[in-house]
Amino acid sequence: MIEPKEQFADVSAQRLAGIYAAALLNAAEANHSVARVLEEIDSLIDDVADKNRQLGALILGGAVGRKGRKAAITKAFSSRASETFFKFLLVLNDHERLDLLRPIRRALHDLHDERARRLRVHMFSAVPLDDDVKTRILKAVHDIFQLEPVLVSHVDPALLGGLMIRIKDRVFDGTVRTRIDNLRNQLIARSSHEIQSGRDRFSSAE
Amino acid sequence: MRFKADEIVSVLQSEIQHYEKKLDVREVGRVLEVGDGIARVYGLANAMNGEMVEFSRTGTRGLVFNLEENSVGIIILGNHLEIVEGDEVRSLGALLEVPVGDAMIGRVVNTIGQPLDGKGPITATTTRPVEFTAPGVAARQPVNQPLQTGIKAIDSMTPIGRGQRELIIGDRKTGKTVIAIDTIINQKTENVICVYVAIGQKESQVANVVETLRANGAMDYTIVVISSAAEAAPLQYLAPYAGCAMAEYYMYEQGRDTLCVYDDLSKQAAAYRQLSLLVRRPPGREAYPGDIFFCHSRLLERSAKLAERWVIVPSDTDAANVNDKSGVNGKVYVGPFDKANAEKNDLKNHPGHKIAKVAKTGGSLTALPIIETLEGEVSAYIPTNVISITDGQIYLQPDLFYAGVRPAIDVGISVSRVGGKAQTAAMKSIAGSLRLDLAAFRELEAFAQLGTDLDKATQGQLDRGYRMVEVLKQGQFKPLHFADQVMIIYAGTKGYLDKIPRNQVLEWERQFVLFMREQKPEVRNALVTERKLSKETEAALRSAIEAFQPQYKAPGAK
Repeated sequence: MIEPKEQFADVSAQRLAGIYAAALLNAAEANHSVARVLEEIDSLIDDVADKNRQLGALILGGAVGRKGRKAAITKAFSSRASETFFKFLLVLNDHERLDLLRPIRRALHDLHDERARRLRVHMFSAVPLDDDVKTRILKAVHDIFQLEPVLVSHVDPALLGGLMIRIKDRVFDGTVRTRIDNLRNQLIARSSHEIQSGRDRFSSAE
Repeated sequence: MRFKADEIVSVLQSEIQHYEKKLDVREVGRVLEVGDGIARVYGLANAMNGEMVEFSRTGTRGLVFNLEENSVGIIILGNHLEIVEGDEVRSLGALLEVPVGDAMIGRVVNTIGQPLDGKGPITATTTRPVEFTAPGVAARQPVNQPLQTGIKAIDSMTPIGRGQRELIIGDRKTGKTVIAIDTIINQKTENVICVYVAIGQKESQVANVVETLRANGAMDYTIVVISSAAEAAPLQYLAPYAGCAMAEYYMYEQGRDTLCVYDDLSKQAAAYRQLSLLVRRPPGREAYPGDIFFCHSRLLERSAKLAERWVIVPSDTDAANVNDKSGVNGKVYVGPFDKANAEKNDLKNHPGHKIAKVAKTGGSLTALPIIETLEGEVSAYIPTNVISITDGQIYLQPDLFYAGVRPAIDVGISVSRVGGKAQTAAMKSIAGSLRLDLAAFRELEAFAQLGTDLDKATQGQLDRGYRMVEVLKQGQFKPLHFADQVMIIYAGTKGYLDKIPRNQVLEWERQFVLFMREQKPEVRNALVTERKLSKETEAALRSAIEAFQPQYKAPGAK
């Protein structure tokens, strides 16, 4: 699962990541190994780097020199990873860009979705939604955007109720929490204006 | 005081009943980094330059300032210390607007129109965009009406017209703000709405200015916009535009004359430089960004004298009800030339009709930008920029200031490019040669300092010059009506002060003004109503001065 926080990485790193991601995807498409490469990059980050921080620092960090990392990568991945992904890791290592692996993963998924005409739809609700609701939402999204929606569900009890959908930068918010917030702001703004503009109505000099 | 709880409850109840349950659709981004009043935001892919945004968690507003490939630079219009990395930012699809209207009069507000004077919330119902395109050529008319500053040296030699942009420039502590404040105070009887914008100043200094305005009754028609030195650079940068928007409301929507003082634009330029460097825009000369000229020109171009609109209406039409559609021939005549043509031609075809001004047209916005120079360096980047944008400048000299010539206006390099056309005929007739005479006097004075023996005529010229310099001196916050100015300068130029000791000129002036008001009001009234020095008025003025001379009491005389 790609964490939403990965979206907020350094913007200049993201630009670079986009370039590497496009190159990797092109190479994977040429070798008909897109699905495998995607799985491998997810696994490297989720199962290796995140679960074993020290190992992650060894491979992705700058603690060890380029040569040392190359030896470690070769030993660990030459026989386990696909040829495309293994070579990609070596290229990143040669260019001292292994620290960009997380934004590259993000860019790779986005680019892959775009080429496959898929749309990532983040859905936030206070309680887990049943499949019927999800299907209806996906159908509605498909009808509007004419793209294949990929649903990512998030449960957040703080929303109190209702539903919020985020597609790229656009948010469709029908949650109870937002409605209460809006009502509160509206009450403060309008009522204070009403009270200020007609003070005599609300108080008497007696 | 008793509060009516049921009334308050009814308002809240009606708000709840009419609450619209619509879906909240927004475009969002996330804060990547924040500091110095600027946030870098990832997302907001469709945000437009100048669009307002809101930081959802704190409700703080921001303004899109810099569009980059993968992020957006946002000016924070509030407490930037509350914003943290990862905060959601939503676009509001609106431009930055400030409250305008009569509710703002007499108030002290910040850049976004929030009150700072502790007098409660402002209940303005109208807003105007902070950034607004200046009126085009067709919407303007030439400056033709004076804006009386009440300062003799300015009204006589560098007159300012309504709709003009006159720069006040000088070193620190040379009396720049005092000139602007005097001008505001003098608008008490002139029906001009004033806006004083304090940018990057000490709060204590601004408090003094506000107190002075209040003590002189000027807050009845003045709005004070403050973005002090303690505020973040973005707010200092936007303050003059906000003040201008508040004045524009009266110019465009009420057809009234307004005055906007920007005190001062050098600090605003420094704030803009800081802002630009923080968003990594490339620095240019003196590290100012490339568009610093545009920053000032687009602000000062908003000053204008709007063209009056005229229509032909039946003679008995009430002037207050005339609008663009009132014309009997369906035509609207824009500006003085169109009006003159209509009077000459079209009006003849409509007997029993008159030409009437469309209500609420012909407003004006006069700008008095202030620039602080360093060591008298007028050829620095920002001073030369603003000098080239404005229609003239009043240059204040520290040497004159310390020599006791206050206001310390250097008449040699102070000019008004359009104000002369708006000067009253009375002032024009007596002050026409004043500038040249004073320049000649300065040359003679330098010559006389060499210790050369002077002939009687030259000595007389010198004596007259010394007295004229004294005449042009004026105390702080004591603006004079133009009629009083005309009478005093007339007396000086015609030699009635030649026998008065130099150090008594101000006292003579004080007693003379009092005398004319109390004992010869007909002369003063004639000047006020006719606004010119006719032969009869001149004769009456001359005889009044001659009648006053024996009555003058020198200080200390019994």
